[in-house]
Amino acid sequence: MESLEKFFALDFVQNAIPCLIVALLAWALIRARREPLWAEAYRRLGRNPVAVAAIVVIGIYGLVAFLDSIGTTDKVSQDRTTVIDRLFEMPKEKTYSAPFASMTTGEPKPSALKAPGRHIMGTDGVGADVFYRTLKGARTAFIISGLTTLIITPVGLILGLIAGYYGKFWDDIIQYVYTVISSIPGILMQIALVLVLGKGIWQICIALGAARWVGMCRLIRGETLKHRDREYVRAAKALGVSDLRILLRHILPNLLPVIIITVTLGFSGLALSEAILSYLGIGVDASMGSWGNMIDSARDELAREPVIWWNLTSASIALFVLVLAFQTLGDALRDAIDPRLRS
Amino acid sequence: MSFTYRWRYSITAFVALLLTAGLLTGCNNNPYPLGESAGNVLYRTLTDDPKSLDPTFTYTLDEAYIADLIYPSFYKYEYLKRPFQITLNLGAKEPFREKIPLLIKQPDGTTKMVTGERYTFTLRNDLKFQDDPCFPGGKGRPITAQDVVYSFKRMTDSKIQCPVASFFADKVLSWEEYSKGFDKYRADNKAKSYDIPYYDNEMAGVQVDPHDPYTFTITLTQPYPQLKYLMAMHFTGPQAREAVQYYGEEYPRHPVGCGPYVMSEYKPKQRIVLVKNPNRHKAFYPTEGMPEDEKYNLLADAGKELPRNDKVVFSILKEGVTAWNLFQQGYLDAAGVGNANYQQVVASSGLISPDMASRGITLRKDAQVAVYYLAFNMEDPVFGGLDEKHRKLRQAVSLGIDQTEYIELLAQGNGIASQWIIPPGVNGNDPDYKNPYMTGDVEKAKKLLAEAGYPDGIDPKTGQKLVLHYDNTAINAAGRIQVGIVQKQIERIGIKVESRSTPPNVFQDKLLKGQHQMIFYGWSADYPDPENFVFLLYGPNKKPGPNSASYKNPEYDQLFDQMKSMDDGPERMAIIKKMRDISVEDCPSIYVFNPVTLSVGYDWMKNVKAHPIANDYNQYRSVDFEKRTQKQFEWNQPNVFPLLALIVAFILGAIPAVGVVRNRVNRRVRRDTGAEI
Repeated sequence: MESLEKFFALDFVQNAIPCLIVALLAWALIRARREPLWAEAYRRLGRNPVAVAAIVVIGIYGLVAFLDSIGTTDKVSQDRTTVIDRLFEMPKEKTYSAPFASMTTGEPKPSALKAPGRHIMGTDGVGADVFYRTLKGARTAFIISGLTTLIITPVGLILGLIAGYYGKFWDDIIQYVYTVISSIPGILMQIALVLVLGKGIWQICIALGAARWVGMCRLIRGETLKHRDREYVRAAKALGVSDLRILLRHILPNLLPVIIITVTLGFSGLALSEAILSYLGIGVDASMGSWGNMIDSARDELAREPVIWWNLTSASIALFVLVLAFQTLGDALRDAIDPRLRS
Repeated sequence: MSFTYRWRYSITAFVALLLTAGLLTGCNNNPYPLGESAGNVLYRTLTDDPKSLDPTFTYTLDEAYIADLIYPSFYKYEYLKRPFQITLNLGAKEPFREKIPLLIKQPDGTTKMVTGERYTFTLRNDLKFQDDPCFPGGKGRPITAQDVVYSFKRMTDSKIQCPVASFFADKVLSWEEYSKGFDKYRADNKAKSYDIPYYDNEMAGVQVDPHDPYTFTITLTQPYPQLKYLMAMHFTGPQAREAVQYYGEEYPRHPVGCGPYVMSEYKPKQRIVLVKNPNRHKAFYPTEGMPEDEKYNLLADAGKELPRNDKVVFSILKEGVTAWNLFQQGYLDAAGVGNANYQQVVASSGLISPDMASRGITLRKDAQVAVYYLAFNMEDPVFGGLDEKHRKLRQAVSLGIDQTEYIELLAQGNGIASQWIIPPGVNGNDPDYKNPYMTGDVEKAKKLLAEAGYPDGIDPKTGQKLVLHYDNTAINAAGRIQVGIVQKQIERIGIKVESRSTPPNVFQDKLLKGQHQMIFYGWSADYPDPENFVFLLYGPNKKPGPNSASYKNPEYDQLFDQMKSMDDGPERMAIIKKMRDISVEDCPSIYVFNPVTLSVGYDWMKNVKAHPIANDYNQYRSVDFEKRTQKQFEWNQPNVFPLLALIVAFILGAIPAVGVVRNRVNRRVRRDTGAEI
């Protein structure tokens, strides 16, 4: 266990993982192009300017998150400096300062800034540049949304396929489980789980995943149920194809569009959830960038005189644009891939 | 248009008219029941519901504001006199103190002769409990010494968990024996209720005088001069056994006392109302004060009967913003000043802003008798330990803290840079003393760090920077800023500070198991005696006791044993000075600051003087309610513009809807005639 931890702490490994993820994504996207169904979807997406804009926005966020994952660790201080740190980190000021200001605010006697006029979104209570903190939030949002999706999708998919395909006993059990889980208020369950598991990225993802796989599972079950009785599945069965092969070769490819649309639409919801959990005080650690933490601090800041609005504004815009982009892309994807919507 | 449609229109219009009329006539934002604030009523706030009003258990400030007005004790603090003084409250005369020989049992079973002390306390003979259904006929019965003895017995009961029981446990004769008897009785009889027959047993250390029902004695196995201060806390006041029997588990929500007030209303999450107790004993506003009290007109009510108001209403307001808005509207008589409203209240001169002053608001700055400090875990392998190297390491970290900046950023510059554990206002605080490790001298810190074996903050064993874990419960924004500032300051000396934030329950668990490295801790005076602060570093008080650093230096402990039972004087001060020098060199804690409370209040509230130790001060305050009512009326004129704007917007927005409805109506008519089909 310890050696595993050491392995993941290596600079090389830490840099390789995001590269690997990006490479995998790129490979999947290029590969998909060769399939006729997806090639058609690409064409339709390309013709939709809103979708292109959404993809560009997500791409920018993704780039920031990626650059924030690539870096070097100082041998002595054990501080990791990422590309984003190198590009955007600013000297720490004493305390709050407004955007482009040259003096601090919120102190009885304002003092001069080290980088006057260069904090485009001001500084926060400990004097960190708000724009830089906002950029740091992108990585957290992507990690949490991505990891949770990685938890939700296989769980929802496997259970949904089993319930939908085999029906009867299995269906009863799985339905019972998800009905019980979905009857617990989601936010309550997330809070309880985080308190039990402790604070941390993984814990938050598990808590989010535990409440959210239900939607995915229900959807997959319904779709599988529909396909199970179609002629092509019956034909495969009659030919003596094994259940596993039918599920993976025949049914799964037909579910892929639904999964992709759900994941895209759900992604932004997960980014929002991180903000909500942080707002409730059970989010990620203060040392990580977090839009939720920034929004939470507005509780005190907005009541101040003069009002400190830049922390809230900056994080809200970042979150809003990302959520909007994902929602738009999700809708556009639905239009592009869902055969039923094609004229 | 058919008749039905016209009829529906008129109903809608009628409802809209009613709503508008209702809104306009009911335009009054007074949050209190009709007419209540037009009386001598004091409006205060609490930040949360009191968890318990059981005087044996309750210990937090919010709870004490209520409990101390219902449960008075033998002594009370002089409202106006400084330094803090206690005076008789329920007591009839000063206690009689004598030395007596005592035969005590030792843990090994042998007995030993010691010189103990016996205090004889006499209560007033005109005391009565408040009227309450727990008494026969609902009428409060007279109070005797038995009721105080009952309170002492409750303190020994581990089921109730009295927070100050440890103060008495090693000093009052047979305390622990009696306490163990409780546990045994409860275990043997599976007795779960609060009041059990075991309470009938005599307690050797605290007894009623057989000759006088108003007199009781407390026998101590060692001198304990601080006893008088404990006799001024709500733990030691009389309690009615009938109330505990009658209310059982509900007793913490049904206080039955004999103080100036009784609780007449308790709406959880909303408000608690205290009204004058008709059975209270006669008490009067002090006739003597400090010279400056004349200036603030604090002696105008001298000699008049207490309480000076008829009612105290505590609104439970969790969010500071709500309280601040209510204060500005004149619906609260006073409010706290924090980071959020500081710049609105205080002008750059440090005085109250002219705008606030013109509304009759005054600003008060009152030093609390408290100290906030960062405590190391002295049992930690890296940062603990009493040897030279570890000591230098802690001294270096201590030098990293910049008190001035800390106070400026987190307390708006209102605080006193503390030098040691004893805050100003308590004997033993030396105003001229400067702690050599609180100077914020980074160069010296780096030198000490190198001497401690960490040149440039690098651990030679690993070649990496030394990491200090700052354990905290920072889950909100204010907490994160505090953590950020501590990190930033200590990192100046070249080591790394990592924050470990956990929920409070996990944090407490971590402390008990000693899995922490450094925590932030605060202590507010129970009584104005240096013992109440220097005991924070006394070895036997380590966790779960108040010694949060788990500091244990035999030399210090021995001096503490020596000074704790002494009366204040030069000799005691000399010992305290020695203790200070020892503990400052060992550096188990970094003394950050002594807080100063800023508050604002309206001029219609009279007799306002802060008392940092006593919590019963609301009984001294009175209200010029005519002035208040007038101002409330002036400042809360309805502002109808937004409403009118809303109505106009509504009408404009409804125009398209009307068009749609018209179209649909017409279409239906056409369809009925079959024209479209």
